Amino acid sequence: MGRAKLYLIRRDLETFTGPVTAAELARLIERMAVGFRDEVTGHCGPWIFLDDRDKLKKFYSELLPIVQAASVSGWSSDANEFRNEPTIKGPVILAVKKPDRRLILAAAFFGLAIFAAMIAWVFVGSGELSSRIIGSQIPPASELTALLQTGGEKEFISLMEPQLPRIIDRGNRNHDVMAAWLPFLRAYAFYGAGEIDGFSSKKLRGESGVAAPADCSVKAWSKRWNDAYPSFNAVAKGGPLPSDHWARLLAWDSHWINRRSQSGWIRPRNFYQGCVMAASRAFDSIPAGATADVVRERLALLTAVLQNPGKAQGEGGPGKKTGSGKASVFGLWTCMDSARNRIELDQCLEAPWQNLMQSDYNREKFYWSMLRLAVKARSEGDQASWPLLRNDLQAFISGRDQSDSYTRIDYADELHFVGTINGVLPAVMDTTPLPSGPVKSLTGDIQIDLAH
Amino acid sequence: MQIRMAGVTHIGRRRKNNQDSLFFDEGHGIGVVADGIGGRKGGEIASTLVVDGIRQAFLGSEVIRHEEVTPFLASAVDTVNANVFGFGRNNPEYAGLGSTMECIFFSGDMVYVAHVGDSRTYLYDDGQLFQLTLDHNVENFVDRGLVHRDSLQDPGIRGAALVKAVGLTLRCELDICRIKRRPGQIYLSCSDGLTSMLDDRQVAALLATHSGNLQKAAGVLLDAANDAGGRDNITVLLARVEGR
Repeated sequence: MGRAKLYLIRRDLETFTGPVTAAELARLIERMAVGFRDEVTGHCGPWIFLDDRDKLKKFYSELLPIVQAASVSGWSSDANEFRNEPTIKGPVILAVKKPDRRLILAAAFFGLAIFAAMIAWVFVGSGELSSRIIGSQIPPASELTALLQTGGEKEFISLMEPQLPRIIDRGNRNHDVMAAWLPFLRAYAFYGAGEIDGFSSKKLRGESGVAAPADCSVKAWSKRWNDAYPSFNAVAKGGPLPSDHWARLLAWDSHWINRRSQSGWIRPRNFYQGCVMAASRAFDSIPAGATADVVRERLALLTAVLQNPGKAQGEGGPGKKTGSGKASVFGLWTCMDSARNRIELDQCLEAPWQNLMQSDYNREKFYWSMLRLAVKARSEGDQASWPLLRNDLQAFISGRDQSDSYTRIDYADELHFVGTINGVLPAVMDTTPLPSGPVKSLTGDIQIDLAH
Repeated sequence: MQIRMAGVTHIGRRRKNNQDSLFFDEGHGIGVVADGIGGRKGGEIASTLVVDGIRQAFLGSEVIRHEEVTPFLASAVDTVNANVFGFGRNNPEYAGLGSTMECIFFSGDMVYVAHVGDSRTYLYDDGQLFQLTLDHNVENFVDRGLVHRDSLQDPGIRGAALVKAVGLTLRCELDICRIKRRPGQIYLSCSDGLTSMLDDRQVAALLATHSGNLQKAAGVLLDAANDAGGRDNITVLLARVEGR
């Protein structure tokens, strides 16, 4: 008996399912574990999108009935939505010499249909069309955006919840629909479990977030926190920093994160924010106690700062913040994050942190905080602070990598902004006031607002 | 499950030097294939920088948990890319050097493949061969709508021309894919010196005959590519999941 022919399924050039037999593939499609925007390949064959009927017929004709059956059976009701299928089928040619009344009516009907389609197309850019495609039960994008921006997360979740399978299904088959709904899927994920069943974690994450863990779900964070619990004390007291995501996250620079808004994100504004939200939610399951509270304090501050950027600048100051964890390394990082000027930053070198400042990394982090103050001075044209910051930064920047050696957060844009060229800071600062709002557009879809 | 690995690299029959580089560590389940571009010496340097860079990053890291594999690979390639790019910038005689990269990494019950360029990684499972990676060339990018032909500086550019490579630009986007491993599977990473000489069915047939002995299989594939002309350097890395 010959071997069964196998197929491999690929989603987003990222994850594979299989190899599976045709029967197994049929079951996967039925269970919606595989969608029509996924690709399939067979032995020594090319990759074909499952919705590409022509190529499927050419290369894997045995799969065509499976896909067709699924397309008319329910979860995809769009038998005519295949990639190569004409959207509007031409009318049957009628053997008539003169147009009769029925033909005129039919022509008028088609004309109206095309007009309606054009009107709908106009709405694509605003995301309104995608609401209509998904169904009338869900409010338009503008309403969902308003909910997210005004603290209506609970209502947002309850509106999104019943529509998720439809949104994901349609989004997987139509790039425009996915682009319109991605910010809401991300908001839904990070106001909840940090993941969505059956939805690509790569899409959820997007292109940014290299320094963040790939999996920022609450489930993943719960495991990380529980595994890390025995290490909390040692790290807090200044012990070696583990190469674990939990400690790296606590060292994240909230200002760096806040400066970055990414297209495709509304709330949270980027993947890092979402990751902190999920980590914070996961930490709720860690029992209270001195050991955990040291971490909890740092995490709470990170979360608060990310949700309310003003908190970082307005309520900072090394003398004011933190409770039992103040003397810990996490308290030191909070001190640096909270410093509003060079004088406050210098206080982080003093008691109770002077011993912790012996650590190479803490000294490095001190300078990244100084860079933040330099960015602020640069954007505000603050000539008084600049010379001091410049002199100290000069030595630090010379010959080093442009990213945080521990968190891997990349400061290249900040360094570029304050004027480094090949590691040399300019002697004279341009004092021209910068425009308000996002003052620099980074490559790709991230905007940096240096006013933050 | 244990991983067995074997690899070979060869200059081929036409080239004057070998611009491919290879590294694998069977014990840790990691392997890298790189195919340098950018002139005789530049290509050799670039592929060496890639392989050494990934190896250093791996040796310099502590235990990499499965959820850390993707950030690790992304970060390692970032660093390697910066090194290759910087080398080209600081040494004008090597300007334009770069390299493809296939990095295969076994972690837990998953296999991760980091991919840039037109070297390839295949899965051979139950006698059937599947290409896992998408060649980063003009033809594929135009086909998939990732690049509009009109936007190409030279619309007559060859379809096989590379769109991505390590070290060509300041930032390097890579594909990282993952697949669940199963006993008996064989993963093949190779430079285009193999795949430009042999089609997938020939590769599958040779693997079917020699899959019992990985070292021999690698050698047989290399010999077959040379017998077919050996127009380019040839590198073959095979990794088998034991346990069946």
